[in-house]
Amino acid sequence: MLYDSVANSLRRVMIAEVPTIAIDMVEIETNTTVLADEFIAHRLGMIPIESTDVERIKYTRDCTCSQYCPECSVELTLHVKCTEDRTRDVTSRELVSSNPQFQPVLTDKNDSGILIVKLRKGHELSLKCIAKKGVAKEHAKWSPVSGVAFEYDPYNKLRHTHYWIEEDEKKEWPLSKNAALEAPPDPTAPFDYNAKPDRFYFSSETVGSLQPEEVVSMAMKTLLDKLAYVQMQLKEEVDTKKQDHTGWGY
Amino acid sequence: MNAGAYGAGQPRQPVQTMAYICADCGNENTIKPREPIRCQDCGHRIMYKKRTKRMVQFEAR
Amino acid sequence: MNAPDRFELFVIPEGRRKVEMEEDTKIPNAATFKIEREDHTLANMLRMQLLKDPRVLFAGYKVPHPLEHNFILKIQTAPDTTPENALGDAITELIQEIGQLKNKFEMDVIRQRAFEDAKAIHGGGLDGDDMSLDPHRAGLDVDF
Repeated sequence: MLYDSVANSLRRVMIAEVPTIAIDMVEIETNTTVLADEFIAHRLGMIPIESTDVERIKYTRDCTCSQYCPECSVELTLHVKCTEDRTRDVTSRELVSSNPQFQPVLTDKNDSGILIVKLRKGHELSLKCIAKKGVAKEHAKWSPVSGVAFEYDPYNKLRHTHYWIEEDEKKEWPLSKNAALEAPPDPTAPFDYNAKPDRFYFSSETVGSLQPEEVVSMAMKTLLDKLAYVQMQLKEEVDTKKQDHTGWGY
Repeated sequence: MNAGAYGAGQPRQPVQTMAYICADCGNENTIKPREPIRCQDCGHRIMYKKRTKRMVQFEAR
Repeated sequence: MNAPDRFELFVIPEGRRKVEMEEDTKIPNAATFKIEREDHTLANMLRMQLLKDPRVLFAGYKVPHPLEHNFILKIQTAPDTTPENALGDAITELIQEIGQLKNKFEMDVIRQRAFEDAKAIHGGGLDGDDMSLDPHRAGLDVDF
């Protein structure tokens, strides 16, 4: 049986430690738009990029290259000039990716993309973005989810919650929809003070870079990797400690 | 703040004539050091500096 | 300005060990572990797993300083084992349980996909779009 501590760790990892791809560097060549360079750079960083294949990209810090390379980054370019008399919208659709596996997220063919800037006649924007793999612990733009929550015990059988009420608890605190998935408690049954929560209902919304089920799978993998690494390092530490104690070091 | 724009820094060349844009008429003016800032066309005293031709890099954060 | 780099949260500096163990000088079978570049995500999970072990007399953790990215874990065990063994066992147990959960989850995702595909073919795909609003579509149910 797993505890709520594991459920909470899973939630925390989903938010902050599942890697995705996001724009991290912007090299601006021309910008005659009304927005300042750094303003546009910041906007570009926030655009979700399809990251189903993140595993194929290395972290730049683990890469052997000097700055960045196709192994550890994706290049996206944008070049737009407004020549007509009406306002021209520049959206994430216009970013051209060097790697077709990593494109700005579009939900369907009719998706107009994310608005970056509006151009008037004569305005021009030309830039190159370097997208890198990262985790939200470094910057929230790498987070695959916009929200994760979990609950347990929708009937409050374990009495972990004390409801604040005016008159009627049932009326003022309607059951969550997860209650439909559990048997309602027997009102005559005595309180089981040894019971522990063992079912957790997660709900999550992603930003689009990964599908929710991918986020869960990858979060569990991250958690396993973390544990395995600590296990390995613990063994190493214990072994070196033992050697010091027995004094076999000649 | 980490909005550092770090273009490749080059040693400055001595006595450079810089082109500025007049804030009033939009005319391009070249101004030498110690010269009064005044548009040759309209006499306006406010000028804008032109954008660098160097590529500028930003962190998207 | 002088803000610390964010990657300090997870990159172990050169020459620093991930896990350090310090045996207690006064209490038998007690030790303090310092885990570098980890936070509550791992610490709380390990603590709860350790407390399930009847041989563990004490397990607790703290993050001593918010700007230093490590936590310390104190463990005291019964004489028939050692803190390092208890910790090792706790990690193994967690790896097993989360591994099982992961497999079950992934199997259920595949099953759910197959089910939805079948429904889309037979049902003409009319009700296939509004999944998120369908109250009868219970979420993936994975037993913990």
